[in-house]
Amino acid sequence: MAKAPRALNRFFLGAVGLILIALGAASIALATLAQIQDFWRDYIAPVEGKLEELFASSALTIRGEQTSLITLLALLLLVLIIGLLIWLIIKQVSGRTPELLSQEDPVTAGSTTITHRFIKQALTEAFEQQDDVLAVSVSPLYLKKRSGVQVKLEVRRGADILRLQEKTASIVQGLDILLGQRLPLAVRVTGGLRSTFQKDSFRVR
Amino acid sequence: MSVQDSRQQGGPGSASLAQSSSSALEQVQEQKGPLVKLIGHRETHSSRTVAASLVALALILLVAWVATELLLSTVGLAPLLLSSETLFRAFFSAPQWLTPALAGLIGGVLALLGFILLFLACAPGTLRRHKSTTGRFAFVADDKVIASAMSAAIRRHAGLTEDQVVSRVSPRQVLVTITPVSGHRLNLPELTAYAQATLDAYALAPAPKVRVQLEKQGVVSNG
Repeated sequence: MAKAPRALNRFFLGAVGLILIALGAASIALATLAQIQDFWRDYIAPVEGKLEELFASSALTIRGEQTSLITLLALLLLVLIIGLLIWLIIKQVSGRTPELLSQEDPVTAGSTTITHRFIKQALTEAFEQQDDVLAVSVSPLYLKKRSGVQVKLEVRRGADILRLQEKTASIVQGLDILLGQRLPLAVRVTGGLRSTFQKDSFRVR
Repeated sequence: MSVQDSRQQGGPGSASLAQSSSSALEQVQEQKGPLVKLIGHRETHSSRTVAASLVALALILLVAWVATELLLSTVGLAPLLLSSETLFRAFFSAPQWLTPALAGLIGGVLALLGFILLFLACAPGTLRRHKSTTGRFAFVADDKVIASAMSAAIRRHAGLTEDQVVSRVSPRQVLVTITPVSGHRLNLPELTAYAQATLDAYALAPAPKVRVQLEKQGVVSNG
């Protein structure tokens, strides 16, 4: 299951938003308010000269061209920023490998390891029995350092939601007994393209 | 078949997981399942992944361009758009070329984009889904699925055809529009009560209210 960094996304959007607002306000202020223009002339403009001195003092010559250490550092910083942004994009789609659950088996007093694959198979079979369900997709869920299961059900039009809930309840009861612990379970019910075109008129209820 | 009676019995080829229990849902509703609240929230609210990715991409392009200009000027090649030197000088001499009109345009656009992003960051971003208050597990259904379930239930109950019932689900309300057959009268209060009972049985949160309305123009009987 894709675990998008929700908090990070919102923080990122908010931060960029605030910066843009600040830039917008600042540019309007700069163009219209005399005090800001004076401030710029007195405090910001002289920095240009100081920076030029800085460039000159740390000058390097690469392949016959004049450059400066500062420029290289600036380039490095920019590349770093790009790297962080790329990391953010990639983090949207981080996947999770199936987790292994291990539990104590009270009967044999040993340790039984139940793989996610087993649970996936069992859940898929159990849900597929339902008439309303067209497709079942089971994937691991990993939240707050706990591993669980997410079941995505594609149902036909007019599917009875109550029956799906009932079925899930009986399945999860069995699952809890089987595993001896309560696995986080999420069930998502979607229409899907297939259900859009299928009519339930041929079903006799 | 009333709503309360709809039970699921395990079939002959039942998998070992399913236990035939008519009150399984009730039993399970008492329990407090792990992470249910968190999952329910995540599944019903946008992760802002598209917005964040687009903004990140735009910034990458911007920063990459600046870096390229810097690199080009360092190596002594011609700039792509504006050389880094030009950019450098322009920043410090801003009051000279930044006219109120230009600033109004640029500043306005920047601020507008900023407010949009800020809104996206703060707004809940609720998706077209409803979660169910089932204690043990998180159950989230698309509004589309809920709508067709409601339509189907009402059709069965009132003996109507598919074309006659249309449901529309919004965060707090379910609107059912019934187009009656000409001459055929429908008991609106009874239908509304039935629809509400059906909806309540789903135990959705936030619990929507049902409104059943009749379409003014009747449908010509198919008979």
